Order: sequence, then C-alpha cells, then structure tokens
Amino acid sequence: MNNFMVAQRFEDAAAADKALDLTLDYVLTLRMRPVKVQLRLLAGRSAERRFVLVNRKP
Amino acid sequence: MCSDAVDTEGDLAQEHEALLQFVYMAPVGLVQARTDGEIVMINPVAAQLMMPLSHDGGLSNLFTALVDIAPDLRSRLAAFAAPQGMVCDGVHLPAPGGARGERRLYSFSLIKLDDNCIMAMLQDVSWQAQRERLLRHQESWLNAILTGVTDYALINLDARGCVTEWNESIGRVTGHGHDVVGRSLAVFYPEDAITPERVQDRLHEAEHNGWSLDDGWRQRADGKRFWGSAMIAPQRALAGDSQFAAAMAANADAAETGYCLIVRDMSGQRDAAQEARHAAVCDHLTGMGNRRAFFDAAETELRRWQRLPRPLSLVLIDADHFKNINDTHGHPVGDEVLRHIARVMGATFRQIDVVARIGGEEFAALLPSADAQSAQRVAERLRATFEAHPAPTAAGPVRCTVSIGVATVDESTSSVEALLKRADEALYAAKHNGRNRVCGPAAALAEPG
Repeated sequence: MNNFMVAQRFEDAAAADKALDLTLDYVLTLRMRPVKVQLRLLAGRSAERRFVLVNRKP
Repeated sequence: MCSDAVDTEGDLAQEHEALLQFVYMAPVGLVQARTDGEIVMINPVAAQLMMPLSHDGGLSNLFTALVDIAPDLRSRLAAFAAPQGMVCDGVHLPAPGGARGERRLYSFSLIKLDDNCIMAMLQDVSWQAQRERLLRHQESWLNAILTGVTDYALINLDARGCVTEWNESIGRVTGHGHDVVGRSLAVFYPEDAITPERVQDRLHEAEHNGWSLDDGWRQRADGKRFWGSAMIAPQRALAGDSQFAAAMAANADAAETGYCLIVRDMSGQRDAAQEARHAAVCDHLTGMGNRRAFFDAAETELRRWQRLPRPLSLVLIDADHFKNINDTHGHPVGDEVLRHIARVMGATFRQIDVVARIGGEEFAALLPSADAQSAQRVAERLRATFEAHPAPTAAGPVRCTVSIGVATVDESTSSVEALLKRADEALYAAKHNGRNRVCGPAAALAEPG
C-alpha cells in the first residue's frame, strides 16, 4: 500500500490540511493469493494516527 | 515412527513457510496464472506494480490487468507453440507511473510452464533505464572525442579540482599558459557560469557516477567564449581501460586520487541531434528553458542540496495584467512582450541560474548559491527593469510590470513542487498587495486571511 493509490492519498490530504475519508477497491496478497478487498482510508486534519480499514468482500 | 512422521511434517510445514516468505519478499514482481490469464498467486511487488494499471480495481486476470501496456499478451501466448518456454524475456513496457503521472518503465517476462500454467515476472526498471541512457550518452561522447582529435584539451585535476600540470592541448583549446597550474577548473568557465559549490558538485558526481558531463559556454584565457563540452572522470576509474586512459593516468601520482577533465570545443557543431535535444528542453516562443527542463534541473539541484545543504533560491515571476495586453493589442504583441521578458531575464540572471518559462506568462529562475537576501535583491532589480523599460513591440512600447515571489530551500523543502508552492504563495502575496512588487516567504506568511 506504500504507493500512490494509498499512501499518496494520505500525503495529499495532509499537504492540503484536509481530513480524509475515502473508500477504494484494492487487492491484497494474503499468502500470495490475490484477495479483492475494499479499503477505507481515514485521517483527521492533525491527528497523529491514520487508519486503513479493510473490508474483505464475500 | 509415528513421532518421526510428525517431525517430518513439521519440517515440511516450516520449509513451506520459509519458501512462501522467500517468494513473498522477493524484490521483483512474480505472478502465477492459468493460461487464460486467471491469477492464482501474486506477490506484493507484482500487486503494487499492477494495481495502478487495473481498470476495475481487481487483479483477477493477468491479461486484463496489463491490457493497457501489453495488449497483445494473450495472442502472444496463443501463438507460442512449444509446450513450455520463454514467451517473452525482459520486454520493456512503458507504464503510467506515480502520483504526478510520470512515465515508468517495466521489464516484463512471461514463461509458459505447461499447457495450464504460466508465470510472469515484472520489475520497475525506470531507474536502470535512465542509467543506461546516461551510459550510452557517455559512450557516444567518447566516440566523438576519439574521432575529432584536434579539438579537445586533456587536463589533470587534483582531488580539489585544481589543474595539476600544463600540456599543449590546454594551450591549444583554452589559450592558458603554465600559470593555469594550481587554479580551479572554474578558470575554464565564464565567471557567472560556475560557482565553487558547483565545482565540488561536479567532482562528487564524477566520483559517484564514474563521470560528469556538461555542455555550455567555456571561456578562453583571452576572455573569448566558445560552446564546449566538459567531462570529468575520476582517474582511477579510467585507468587501464584503454591506451587513452592509461596515457592520461600515467602522469598521475598513483597514491593520490585525482580527476581527468576533458574540454571539447564544440563550436559550429550544431548537428541534428543537438538541435533535437534543444527543441525538447526549450520553450518554442522565448527560446528559454521549458517546464520539463526546469523540473529536471531543479530536481538535480534539490538532490545536491540534500547531499550538501547550501543556499538555493527560487524566483517565480508572473507578468501583471497580461490578459489585458493580449486583449488590447492582440496575441502577436503579447508574444513580443513574453520574448522581452525572456531577454531581460537572460540579461539579469547568471549563466549558472536555471531560467525557464513554466506557464503562459509565468517564469521561474532557480538560483544556486543564492540565499534569500541575494535572491530578493536580484528579483527587485528585475522588477525595476520591467517597470522602467517597456517592451518594444510592433504596436509601440508596451509597459508590462511583473510580480515576483521568492522562496529559499530549507530542511522542510521535501520536493521541487513544495518549493514551487512556497514561491507561488509569495507570488500570490505580491499580486494581492498591488502587483509590481517582490515578496518573500515572510510576506506570504504575514498575508492576512
């Protein structure tokens, strides 16, 4: 997730001094198997922690 | 026996785990798929490289995911008759890249394992490709030197970049006599085309890359300028490579690291390749650097700063009420004003400064070895020149003032974009406070609301 699709969204939000709440489709590679998921990215304006919520689709 | 079997099973499980981790952590992208493209296994690097290409946010099919950069993959595999083997090996595929949309280059290999199974290897080779390009450039440059044997000077430099001895080629190309010994290589440049810091940068880059090359104005002892190429190479990197290098290294003290400097007189050699390169980095209207050239140069400067901080400032210039000029006098007159701005900038800034047109009526100058104060001084001089001297145009003199924002690199400057943004804020403050003025970062901060 250290790429422009995920990490960059946090950086952009921080640079713009904006809160972030964004959901996007993604693929995780759990034990090499491609697993389709939804990620929800959350960040407060000056909060120290950022959150990635993973929703494993049925 | 029973416990043995359990142990073996435990060993196997551990081995599996280790193998999984090995593939999982491999620094190249690996994908196993069925022959219809359906992905069975994929490691994180492959997912990272392929996700930005995927249209539907999924990675279920290899051919679908790569359709934008390798649309013929499926048919290539279909045309591959052998029961197994390499379908393609290290093919270079240009791909859209990071956040700023810059192009990346992927290396892609496809292996057919059997009738049901294929494997793909994917790697981002943008950096290697760039390095390869540099090497090809170097090679062609050396070829050019070795074929035109009358117009270059071979100069031995010590570890600080000072000339260690005189030879005839120095006299022939630069006109310098024995008194050049002990002086910095800056002596071959016009005064405003190099700084002591830049000399050190070049030596460092030569050390780091094996060589450092730059084209530009050079100066002879009598003050006359000529267009030349200069290449610096560490001597020990060259030694033994060829007779040519051996001859240069022969005089050097083996115990001391030094450099070779080759200055080549390129006057009158405006060949097609050079002009094509010129076209790629120059703004068509004004002849000054374009946006791409500016970003390339600025990124190099910022890397230098990060290695060794020293003053570095950015001056951002925007023509005031330019739209009015276009509306009142028409675009051809507007173009003449832009060319006037380019000329004045060319006369105001030093040769070492990177000046470019980065937008419609927006210009930038990056000033190495210039702190905030001296950058503001130059900016003020520039502003005053535009105020005092209207642009000569077909419609008569047209007065066009400029607003200028100045920013200086510090620890918090993470990228060229960040620096540009700060200068832009200062420029905005200058506009907001009535135009025809220079603002630094302090003004931008003090800007109310």
